Amino acid sequence: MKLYNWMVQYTPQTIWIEKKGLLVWLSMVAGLLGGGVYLFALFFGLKFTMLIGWLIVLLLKGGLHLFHTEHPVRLWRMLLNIKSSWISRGLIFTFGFVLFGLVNILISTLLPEFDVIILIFRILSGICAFGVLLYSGFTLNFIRSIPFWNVAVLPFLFMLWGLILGTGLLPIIEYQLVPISQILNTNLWLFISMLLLLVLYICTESYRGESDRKSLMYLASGVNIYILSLAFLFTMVSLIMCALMLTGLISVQYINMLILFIFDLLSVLGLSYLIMKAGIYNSVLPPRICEIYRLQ
Amino acid sequence: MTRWGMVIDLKKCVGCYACVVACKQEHFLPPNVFWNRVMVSEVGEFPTVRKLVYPVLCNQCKDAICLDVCPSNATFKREDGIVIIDADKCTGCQYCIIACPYQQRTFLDNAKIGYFSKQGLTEVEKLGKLLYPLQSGTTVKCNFCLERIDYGLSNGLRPGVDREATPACVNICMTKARHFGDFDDPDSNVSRLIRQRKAHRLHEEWATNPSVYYLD
Repeated sequence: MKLYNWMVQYTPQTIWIEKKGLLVWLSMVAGLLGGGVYLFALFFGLKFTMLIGWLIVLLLKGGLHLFHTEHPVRLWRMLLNIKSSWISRGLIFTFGFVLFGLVNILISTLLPEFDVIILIFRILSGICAFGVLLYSGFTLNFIRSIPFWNVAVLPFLFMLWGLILGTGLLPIIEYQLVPISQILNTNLWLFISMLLLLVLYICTESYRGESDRKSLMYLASGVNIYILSLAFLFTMVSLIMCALMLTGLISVQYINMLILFIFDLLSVLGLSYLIMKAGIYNSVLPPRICEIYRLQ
Repeated sequence: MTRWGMVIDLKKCVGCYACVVACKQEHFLPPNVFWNRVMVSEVGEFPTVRKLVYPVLCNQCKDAICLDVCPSNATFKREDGIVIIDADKCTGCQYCIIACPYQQRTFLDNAKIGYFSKQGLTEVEKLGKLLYPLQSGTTVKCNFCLERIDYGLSNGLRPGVDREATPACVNICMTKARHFGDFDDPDSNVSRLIRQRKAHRLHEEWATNPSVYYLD
């Protein structure tokens, strides 16, 4: 007698979070980091940091995608379905970011007198960087078969993570050139917004359906509960460090900013990992049949 | 227009797995790759034991989600409603596998693997690789034996009626639990069965409009 558990039970997706699938998660986080830091560098007009953000997206995010895909030479084909596929749209944003970002960095460095052209490419690269931040969330949000991901807040949560990482990395690269208090203030408010959104997400999930509840239960079981605890701890440490530095109880030093960024990064890595991990499919067979099996 | 579809009579299916084997043989599928699955189980205790059998395959959905998510347009729908994958275009991103609510897509890690790993490929397996060249690193799924349908139609045969033009799993079914035909033809065998018997599809609430019906 053969019983396919996934037909009758709620099964977690493993394709994008286990074995080679871990590369997808890491490339998403790399995109958030590169896009986020580029956006803030653009705001403060810091060319070197723009270059760092651009390189993170090109080499780290792009490299991870290349390692993940089984046919790298066919990668260009992934641009062909922008009508409905969020991977296509995301890659358009990524390619646009790589192209416009490079032109922006080159022109603003070599030809600083061309103000209008620089402005145009700043706007274009900024839009694409924003797209890079948003599309990971939309890629997951589009999947109706995993109800835990199919929620409106997910793209905004990913966007906030990108901005948090951006504010974290910026002072590490250009400590002397950025207004630290302004950066810390932004970081603090982004963290508060992210926490509120996270609470809203979890509250909504708790009553949306059985599969969503299973996802939440899955987060609170096995090794996931330890990762969740650590991610929450890192988030709270970042939040408190930020607040203490703003109030002057902790001195604003490079090393403290570095520690803050490391906690930011660990928090985002942990939380995004858990969201990927808790994507649980509904059972395939009709509920009345599944109920019979589950009662056995 | 034509819309090919399948009707499976759950009362007639005995869970013999012949359809699973026929499918594997027809497409020379490597180990651990199934386009057709049958879930068989028993519920209850003697003397009120009941056998539950549920055959599952790609639903060839009219509003397929896999079609929307495929970034390279490798997954596409033919005019007759069959959703197929062009292996030459598939990039192996596996977005479709995640998006399919029926979990009917499989990622083919290694198409060259044989059933007897220590002695290499058998002659039949070598022949299979030539006749049905599956590509490693791509997604695969049931295609309603479209090569049989196309062959049949080009020779004036009727899929679902003539064996040569009908999917292998339907032909092999000894209890005639599986029926194949055109849903757009009101006089076809499948349309009649849906009208006459209580038919349902898997998770209609997902709005995928599947082309596989089950009769209770």
